[in-house]
Amino acid sequence: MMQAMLVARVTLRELWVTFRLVLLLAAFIGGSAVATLLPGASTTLLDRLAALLAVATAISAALAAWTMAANRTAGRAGWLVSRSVTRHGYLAGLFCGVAGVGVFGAAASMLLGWLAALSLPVPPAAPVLAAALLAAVGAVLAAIAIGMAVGALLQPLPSAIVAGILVAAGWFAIATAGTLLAGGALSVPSIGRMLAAPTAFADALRFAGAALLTAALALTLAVVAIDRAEL
Amino acid sequence: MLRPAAVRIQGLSRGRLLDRCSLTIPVGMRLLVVSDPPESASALVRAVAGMSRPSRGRVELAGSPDPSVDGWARRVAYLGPEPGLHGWMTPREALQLAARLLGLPVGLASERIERALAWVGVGPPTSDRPISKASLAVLHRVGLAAALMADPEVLLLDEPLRGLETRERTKLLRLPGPRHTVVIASRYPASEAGLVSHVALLREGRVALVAPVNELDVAGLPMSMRGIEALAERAGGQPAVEHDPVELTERIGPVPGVNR
Repeated sequence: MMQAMLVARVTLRELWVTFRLVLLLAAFIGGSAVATLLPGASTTLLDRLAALLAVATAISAALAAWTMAANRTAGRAGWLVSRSVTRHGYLAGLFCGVAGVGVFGAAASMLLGWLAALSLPVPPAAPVLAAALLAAVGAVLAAIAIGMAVGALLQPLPSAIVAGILVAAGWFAIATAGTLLAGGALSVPSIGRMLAAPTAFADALRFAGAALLTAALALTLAVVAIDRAEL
Repeated sequence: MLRPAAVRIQGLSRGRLLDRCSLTIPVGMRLLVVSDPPESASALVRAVAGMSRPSRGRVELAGSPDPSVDGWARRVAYLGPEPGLHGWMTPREALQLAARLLGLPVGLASERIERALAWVGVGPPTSDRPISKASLAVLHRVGLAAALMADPEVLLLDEPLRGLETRERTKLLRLPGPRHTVVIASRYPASEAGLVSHVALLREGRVALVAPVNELDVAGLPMSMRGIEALAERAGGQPAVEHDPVELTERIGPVPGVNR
């Protein structure tokens, strides 16, 4: 546990030094600031926030994959593993480091959205917005876990591209098919309408649950991959 | 003279590089591993160090098969051709991290850090500048310092310190004391001549020879890949070590303290 925390701290510092932390926070917070400040119809604001979340989570996945793959191929993961950090501890630490920043960014982004939503003619209920925030956090965790799994398998650049595409494709599938969980209610472009729907709270919670389940599955895959990886 | 095994490898396989490879290395032996193909030696050391997962087989290091056992990391260290240090860290920060990962108390850690930096010849201001701004030689020195932080019993070296001049490299890798067991995978046997007491040859992923270095001298063979292969031919090309450590120790005799 202590070793995983040390890895998380090193990861945070690495993200800071390599400007990836700034990129990640800019994607979430900067993007949502722009989305909320631009003029538009009430539902457009929430839809823009949803689209921003999709882009930012794809960036998170790419960045997580790059970080994992670069550390693995450059021998930095091996250096830690040869110093009493278990492979699982390393994965846990790296995930906590990247996810910490991602969750902070997503939460801050959604809080900005929350504030903006309060100025709408008919603002969504507070529990709905809280559940939407939880769903966003779940989506970020899932994206980063997918990035970890891909980064444990591929080289840095291919892993970043594949992870970004996977997450973007996931959002696209939800947006276009729209039937994955709630009969179309989870379509990204219709987030604005979804938040006004009577089932909004349940839908958001269901989405959060699905996202957390995806994160758990992706992390399980990452555990299997890192167990077999050449460090 | 009977000594326990520091490294016990049983039936290790990995791709085409290792094929049910078995080897037992007693405490205090300083073993050079060369191979044909050349990648097999590195593959063996990396698998022993836990950097890669063998498809089958078993490794015991310092008496334990399980790296998660408390204290294991203090007893075993690995240094590869790429030290794997974060470029943004200073040498001192890298060693502080190594000390924290090893769970060394603060006082002892500071003492070990200073000693390790002095041993590898990295002092201020280099020790307080980011590693990315230092030379390759400094990077390798810091890698070795980190590996030696816990004063490990078993040191696994895969083509180590190639960024240094041969004389400097030999000086740094000549660890004092009979307690250290050193395993070096190398493609350049001649450059390891002053560091090892024994040589091992892997052929097609299996151990073809384990012999004291002085057998090369006795046979009038050079410390080179050809010399070691010729020695293996003279020994009949029979797999040398499929034995238990006691048997091996009896066969090879006491390890001379060549590095003391």
